[in-house]
Amino acid sequence: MELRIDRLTKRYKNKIAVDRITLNLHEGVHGLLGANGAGKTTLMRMLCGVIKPTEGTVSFEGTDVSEENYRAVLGYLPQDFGYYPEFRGIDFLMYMAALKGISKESAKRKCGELIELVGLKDVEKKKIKSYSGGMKQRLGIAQALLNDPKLIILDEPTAGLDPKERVRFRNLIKDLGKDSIVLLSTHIVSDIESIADDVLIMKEGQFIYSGAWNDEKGSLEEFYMEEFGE
Amino acid sequence: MDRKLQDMLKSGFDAPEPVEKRAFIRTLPVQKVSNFKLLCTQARYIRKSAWLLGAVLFIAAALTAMVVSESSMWILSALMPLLSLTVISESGRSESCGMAELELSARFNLKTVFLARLIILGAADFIMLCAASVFAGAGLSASLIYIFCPYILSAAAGLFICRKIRSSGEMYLSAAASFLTAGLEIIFRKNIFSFYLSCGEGESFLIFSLMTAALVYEGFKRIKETEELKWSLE
Repeated sequence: MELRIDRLTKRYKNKIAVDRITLNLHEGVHGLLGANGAGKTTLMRMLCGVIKPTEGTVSFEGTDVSEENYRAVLGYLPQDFGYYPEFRGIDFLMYMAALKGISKESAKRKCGELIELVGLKDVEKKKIKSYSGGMKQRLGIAQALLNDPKLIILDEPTAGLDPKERVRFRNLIKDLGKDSIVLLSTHIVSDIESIADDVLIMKEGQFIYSGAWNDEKGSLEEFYMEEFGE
Repeated sequence: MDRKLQDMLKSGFDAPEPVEKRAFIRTLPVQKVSNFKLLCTQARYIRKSAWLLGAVLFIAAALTAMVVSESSMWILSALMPLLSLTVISESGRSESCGMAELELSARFNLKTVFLARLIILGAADFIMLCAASVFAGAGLSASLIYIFCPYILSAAAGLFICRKIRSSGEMYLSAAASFLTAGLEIIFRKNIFSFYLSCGEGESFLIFSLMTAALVYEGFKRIKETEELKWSLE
């Protein structure tokens, strides 16, 4: 399994958000760190086909990001997402399953499994507008896993979760990384330290560090603070 | 194997826990989904209010034809721009509800969703327009000018507004455009009638074709916009 990113660039009128990034990712959890405006979300959106790169290519096992077969193996959790106001939790998952081309019978089974996994079984028939931020986030994580994706891209997956849920989802993400390529972005350095096999640190649209992080290199948090002054 | 024995075995032994289930599922080829099935699925997710509006207008058109036979053409003509609201309101829904990013990354992405909704509601509206023409007892030329053109004009204006004005108010403005078209139909009905009398079938068809071209152009532009998430980036 390989996600190939080749000279990926996104330029806006007067800003380069992502600057000629080349990278090959394999199974495992890859943590993406960077300050606000470093280009993390733009990079993730390009990897999901949500925005088109100015230059460069993205392919998974030889399938280009613009193809339906690429999206068929993708699970994506955006930083912010909405929902149709009439949707209940289960409706949202069934709708996303339909968009992922899952048959109705399989979708019912899979939605049931995932809603249980994310701990929303009791509220699955309640309108999403009555959900808290954390519950909405858990629903977002569930939809990303509907199609048993081989490529999972999570933009701030633990945002809004309480500490207990955060630990639970960190473990879930670590487990997913055993047989999938997981790319997750976060501001929480400890999340990356505890679950990521690789660390990618982004600044001004480029990677300033990519690779495994171990104790010999010192504290990741300290390095991050030095680089970004946060 | 004997059915009874099968049942006994089932009740006597628990099925083992699946091993490597996820790995196995991933080896299965991507399921093909026919266009028809895709349309049926999307039809389920079109708001009930859109169908309700269509149904109310259909009943209103039928009642108009039955009750006020003399001036029914004008009333039907004024009702048709409102029908376009079904298409307009559904076309911008993904963006206005914040679902666009998720839909763009799904296997059947936003462009497919948008096209499917356009086809379903476009087909339903076309049937309604044909029915209104029958109710009015109008010939081809009169149907094109009085029934089809107001709808097309209103739909094209609505899509244009949705494309140009990127805020939550776009739907209200589109609705206002539809009501304005309907209002203008009533106010200028004598002028439209004189114009209709002065033009032949060829001219009616030309006007209809030009308006249709404008609608197709706006539809095409709108589809192009659904290929990538632009709204939050510009």
